[in-house]
Amino acid sequence: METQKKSVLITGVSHLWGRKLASLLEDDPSLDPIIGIDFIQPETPFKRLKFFQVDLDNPLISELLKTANVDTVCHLLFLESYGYEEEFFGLNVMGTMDLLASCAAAGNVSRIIFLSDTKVYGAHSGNPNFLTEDSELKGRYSHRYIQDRLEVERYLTKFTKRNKTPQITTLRFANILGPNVETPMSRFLDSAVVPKVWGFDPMMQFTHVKDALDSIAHAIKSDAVGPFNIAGDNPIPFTQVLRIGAKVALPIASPILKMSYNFYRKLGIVDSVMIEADFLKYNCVGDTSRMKNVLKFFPKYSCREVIKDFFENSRLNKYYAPKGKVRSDPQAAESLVKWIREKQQATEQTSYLIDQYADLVKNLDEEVIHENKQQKSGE
Amino acid sequence: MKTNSKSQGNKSFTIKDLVTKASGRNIVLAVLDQCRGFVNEDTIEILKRRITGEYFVDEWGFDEELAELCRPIMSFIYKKYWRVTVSGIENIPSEGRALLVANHSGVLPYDGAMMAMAIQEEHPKPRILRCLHLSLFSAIPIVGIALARVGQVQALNENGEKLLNQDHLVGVFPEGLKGVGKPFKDRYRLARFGRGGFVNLALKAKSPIIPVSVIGAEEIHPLLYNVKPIAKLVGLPYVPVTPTFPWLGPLGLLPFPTKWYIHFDKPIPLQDIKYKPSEEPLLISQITAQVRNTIQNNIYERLKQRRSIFW
Repeated sequence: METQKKSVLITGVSHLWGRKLASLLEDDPSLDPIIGIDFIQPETPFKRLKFFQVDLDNPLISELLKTANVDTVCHLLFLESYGYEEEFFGLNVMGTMDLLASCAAAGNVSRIIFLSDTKVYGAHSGNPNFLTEDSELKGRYSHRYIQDRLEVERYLTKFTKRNKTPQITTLRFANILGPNVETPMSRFLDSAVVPKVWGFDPMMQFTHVKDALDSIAHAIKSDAVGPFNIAGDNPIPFTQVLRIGAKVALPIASPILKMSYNFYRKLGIVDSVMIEADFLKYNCVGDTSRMKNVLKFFPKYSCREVIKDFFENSRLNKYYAPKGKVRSDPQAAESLVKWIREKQQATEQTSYLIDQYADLVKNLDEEVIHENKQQKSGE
Repeated sequence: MKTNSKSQGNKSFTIKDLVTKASGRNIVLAVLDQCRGFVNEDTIEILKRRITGEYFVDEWGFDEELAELCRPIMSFIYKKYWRVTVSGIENIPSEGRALLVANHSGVLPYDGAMMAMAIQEEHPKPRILRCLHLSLFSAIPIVGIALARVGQVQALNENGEKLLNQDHLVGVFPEGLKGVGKPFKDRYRLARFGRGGFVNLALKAKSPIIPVSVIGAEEIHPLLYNVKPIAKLVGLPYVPVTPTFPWLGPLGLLPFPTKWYIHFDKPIPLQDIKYKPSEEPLLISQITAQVRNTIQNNIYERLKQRRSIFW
């Protein structure tokens, strides 16, 4: 391992992904300083990360990158939407362009890490069973969360042709699933009756949230450049996913599914719960050999384990007690733990209680995020 | 962040829940439990595992358990219906990659399945043969799934290369549609062997080529006439007229019980071959011709000895 310290800037730290990644990176002493930016304030303060509230198109970002001598930028800020919204487009696509411009202007940024989706390849009948990273990007869909990714990717290829630095690493994730994270796929699988296309049963690929976050952290520390498909091993058929989840599959002929989907979406009934019909019809599976050979990242969860874990958690979700409104966030007590520890170390005292409490808080972590979310949606 | 904030916790009992609780799945599971005693215990276990998703499908979509369930039917067709006689099975390696190249015929492509069965039944170490099928089949409902579940893969360069690099046995039919949809008068006359893509594949993956000749499949559905206008209209590659189809309706789809011979020839080693990049196109066309001639000669050799198409 290299001993050289890296300075990192993360965008979107006030949102779920940035938040999770920040708490993962803050434990790593080889990354210093860690700077986070976002357009809204974070809900809870960070341990070590220095936060600034700026927009992506702010020209000051290039000065910030220069002054802090940042060498790796990790761009996580991306807002998911199903329909077209000018504001979201401005942030997802134009914001990315502005950030790239700032990084190029700063001069000291050597690498930028972008997140993307294997859906940008598109699901077509002529797809090979495993799509390598250099496959053509043909994911033209009405869903903006795919389309925006695609536009960003197109811009990135143009950018890499013209500029040598900063180098670009793109992580293309398969359907991300995991406890307490909402993605289009998790919303789709959430209902009791799940539509499928009659007569088709594509292989599907999944990435566990933990693997996704680990791979970002791994990419920051490694020097691998270029696009990478990030997904678990052994893709599984869609019907098997439904069987594992004990869902009722509703087979619909594909033209009817497409038509009715458009119809219902116009009425505003099924806006978000569907995923594009093509992905229920044809394979869109990424080849992960480049991830293993070049990035040297090995996911902990196979696709089947991701699915099992997801359904186990969504079953358990029903039984969680709602969080009381007069209770504080257990994570917030971390600063107290830290303070007491420092005092104890100074006087060379140790306490069993404080270690136990720290462990407890760590284990609570996942649950807490869940409860927070639940409370928000309840309001 | 704009998210569709569907509350996940503390759901009240809804109609959706009722649907899940009373779904066919649960009823079937309950009935299966009641059947213990009458029905074979293993069968119940397998069925229960199928329903609850506790089975393994490999990354190419091949479902070994399902293939095993279909085995008795396939075995009947192989042994009793077409009485396949196999020669040269020792040319199939017990391990490592190999590209099997065969002639294609029979209107409906049963030849791939029979080749796979031959290796399953006769080889001392049964292996799975992954045949590459025409791309357009993947876009047909049910057919696409069925092909994938029995171990067939869409014929694309990327797929073939990856399969060979994973040390699988891969079967290809370079004649493609021109082979299966061949008129009866042209039987046993090999069509053009594509553009030599299969040789390119073998050279890239450093895999030996095993020429395979299949005799008997040409006569199972003698194609007398191809109704091109209807085929064009329906979007199928061909609409055949045979002595039995469409005159006997669905019964006409029953193939004739001809006698089959499958011969696996000696492997053509391509793994150690050395050539300059500039020589590649010539090498490809030469090997293509070599493979095609070997298969054609083996077919003629067998046809010389064959006295009747039925035994």
